[in-house]
Amino acid sequence: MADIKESTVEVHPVSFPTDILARISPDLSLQRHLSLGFRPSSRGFEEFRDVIINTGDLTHNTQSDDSAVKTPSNDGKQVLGSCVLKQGDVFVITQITGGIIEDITLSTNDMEMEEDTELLEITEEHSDITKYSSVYPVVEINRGRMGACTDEEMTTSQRLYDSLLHSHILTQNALRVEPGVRITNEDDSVNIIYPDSEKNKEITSLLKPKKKWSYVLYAKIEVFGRTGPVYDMCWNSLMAALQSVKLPRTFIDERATDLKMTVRARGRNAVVMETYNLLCDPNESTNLQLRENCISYASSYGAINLDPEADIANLEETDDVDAPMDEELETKTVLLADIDGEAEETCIKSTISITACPNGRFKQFSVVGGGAKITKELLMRSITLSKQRSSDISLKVQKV
Amino acid sequence: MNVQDRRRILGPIEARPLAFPEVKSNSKEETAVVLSEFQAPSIQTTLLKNCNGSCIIENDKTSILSSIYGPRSTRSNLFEARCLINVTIKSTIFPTSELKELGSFLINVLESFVCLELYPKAGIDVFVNLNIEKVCDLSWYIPYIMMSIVLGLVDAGIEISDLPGCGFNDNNAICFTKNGSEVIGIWRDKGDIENESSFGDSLDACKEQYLQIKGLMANYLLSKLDNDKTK
Amino acid sequence: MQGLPEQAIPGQILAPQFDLLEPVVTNNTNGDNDTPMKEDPTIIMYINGTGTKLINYPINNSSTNSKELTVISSTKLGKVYSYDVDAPADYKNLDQSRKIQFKMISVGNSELMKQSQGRSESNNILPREGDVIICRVSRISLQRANVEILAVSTKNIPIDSGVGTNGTGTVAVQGGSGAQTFSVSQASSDVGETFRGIIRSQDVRATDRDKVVMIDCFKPGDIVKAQVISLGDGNNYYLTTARNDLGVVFARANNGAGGLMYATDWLSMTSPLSGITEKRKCANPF
Repeated sequence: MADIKESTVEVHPVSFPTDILARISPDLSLQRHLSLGFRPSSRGFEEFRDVIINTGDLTHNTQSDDSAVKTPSNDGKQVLGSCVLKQGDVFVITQITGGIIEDITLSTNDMEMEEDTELLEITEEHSDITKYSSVYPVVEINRGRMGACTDEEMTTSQRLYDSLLHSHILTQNALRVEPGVRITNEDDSVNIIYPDSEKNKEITSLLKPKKKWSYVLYAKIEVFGRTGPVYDMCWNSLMAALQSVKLPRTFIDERATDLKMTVRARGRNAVVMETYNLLCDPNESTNLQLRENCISYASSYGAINLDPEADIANLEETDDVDAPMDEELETKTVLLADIDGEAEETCIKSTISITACPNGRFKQFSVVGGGAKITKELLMRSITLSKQRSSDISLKVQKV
Repeated sequence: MNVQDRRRILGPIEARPLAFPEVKSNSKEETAVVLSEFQAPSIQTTLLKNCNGSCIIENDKTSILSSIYGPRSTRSNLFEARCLINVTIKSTIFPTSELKELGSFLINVLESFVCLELYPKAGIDVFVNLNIEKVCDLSWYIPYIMMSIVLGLVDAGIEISDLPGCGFNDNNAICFTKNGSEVIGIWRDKGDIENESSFGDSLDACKEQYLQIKGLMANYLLSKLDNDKTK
Repeated sequence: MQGLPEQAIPGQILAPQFDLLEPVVTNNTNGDNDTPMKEDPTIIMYINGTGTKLINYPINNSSTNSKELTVISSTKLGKVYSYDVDAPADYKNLDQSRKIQFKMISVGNSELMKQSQGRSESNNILPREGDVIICRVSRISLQRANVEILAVSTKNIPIDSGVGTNGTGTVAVQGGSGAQTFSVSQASSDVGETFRGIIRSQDVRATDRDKVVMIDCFKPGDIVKAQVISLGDGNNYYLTTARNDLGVVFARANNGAGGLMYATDWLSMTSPLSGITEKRKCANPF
């Protein structure tokens, strides 16, 4: 009830409860809060929301004993890694599932592959990125609605995909499939040989098909209780989930290794087809190799002009347009970390988004200016904060 | 889906899901496993901040989250003196058709105890997210789903005439209200009902479970009130 | 008569509809049980307020002798309040010799409950007839102004209708608008999903009702205080501003581009910065 509409002429006794004022005039409400030195969420200007991260909880345990492992019930989408992130009041649940794709570019023999790498070196400048891979994220924000995905979901997914690819965290090699061979012995016992030891390598290389496969990783990111922008949380959750990913080892049955079929389609063409069924070993898995020094975490900032008149209750509001820029004393711009809540989301048009490694390397940096002027000091301050935030989150992920 | 979704990055089409070898050995025995008894789950309400009411019901393998939106404006051009209810259930395990059917079943159940006449021209949307491991058929989860929705509605401040609940026994999920004197819904996944007496037994078992659930819900709500007071 | 419970859960029975209030008589001093009462007992009629409902409750469950009693049952979780009220309008006193006291029972959990003496407590933005609401003008025509209802002034704001939920913010930081999809309750798509209302030209003010020029009273984007006349049709509530304290409360000059304006009289508003004066039907700011 503290907010009372005022004017220069006389005091207006018409008053609105705080929550109603926040709904009908969010900018006024935000300015009033900021003038008191805190934000509508009662956080400080540079205070982040607390983050709780739990990884691997939802992962189907691939190391469990035989009887518990059945054919995947989730429509064949076995969860390989997962993360539940809670930031403030928002929950983000990330589940990473996998698939296997036949690698067409590398499906030829080794000689050609070497040529390929030479070619790659020539055009390295352009195709540097082809050495790296990404996951395919689908972001779902639960907001009590049905129907097609929203703009926000689409842009967030696309941004996650691009940022992950360009952060160089996942190499193509890390996703390469090294299939083993399942051998049925004479006494009908079955064992699987992986190309780990020299001896096994020989056997498998004999039986190994010429084709190459890669894992494909999908991420399903569900956001519950959205109260503000979600990109940071999705990225951080995805990062944490990726670190918990265990790729199951795959094998080919020996009977299928050299299968060649001549297919005669209506007597016209003779096509030689090779089909393999890669199966996953329910008992063996390897950790996904991430490039450790590329693990980064995101944070976001907003800049807003403090309205000097919101401070002194006797004056009315001034617009940015009307405040001349040379009156530096008049408008003070402040940096708000971790934008959240309705008022901040609607009123803050100047935003900074930084994805940083704890060691201080930056993976992604974007600044959108609008309304408030983003000064050099604000930028430097946000960079310092993002490093702190990043190392803070990385500690939380490691603890788990 | 025969139309490719171009709005999202879904990955290459040729990619195949990970296939695990089927374990043929003791699968028969597993299906005959005794259905788990009702376990008292953990309850938490007012979880989400972008809906009016929410409730999560969890035990070791199940986590059911309900979120209640509304009463909010409808798009209907007709004047509706009572409110409309929608129930949407999301799960990756069960087929959509089955979930839709359960959704409309639950709408009928809800309409019997929500004070619809208090919310003219409005709609209440109930969303249920099932994050579960498949232990049994869908019917086994209904008591938990019901519990989650009812507590979600209470959390949202939507007026309901009673605390209804549901019990599960022998493939029947039976919803009760008014201390078990009224049945407001019966769901059965499979199997024939052998005879009246076996159904009667099952009814009694469900009723017992309903009373247990009602006790749990009442205790939770009262303790929540006490907590609010001490704050 | 038993005391009311302090707090209630949905479905809990609070009181019978009619109850006897035994007069405080010093019966015990006589030691005689048959002594007639000195005073007639007072009948209490409980009236169901917010958060309660009248239901028929079977008191004897045996099939031969089943009776039903009308009781007040809770429909909400919260504290139980009871207030003395006047007789309801439709109540007819048949027996004048009886003393009847009316009490309203309501269940709720908020400050608003105390302020309104148990009459209105609701977490939802469901306007009723007579409620004063705050709305934003979305469209103007010669005959009417279309508005979307933002808040009901005597009620709490629901948390599921802000920008956070539907992401309608112009800058969902690094993401677009979420307004494209709509709630399940809505069958077809349009912008916004708040309750909508209409202020007809004859409902703008109480005098000179035929000469109202809508564009001189409201502009799109204005925040207006109005009262609900009727629930209207399926689409719109019917609203009125024909009262001194009703009308535009917040407005910006130049169709939203200029500064905030303040009412100078009941027909015009001025922006103190630019000095622009525009016509509005203002709410009395005092």
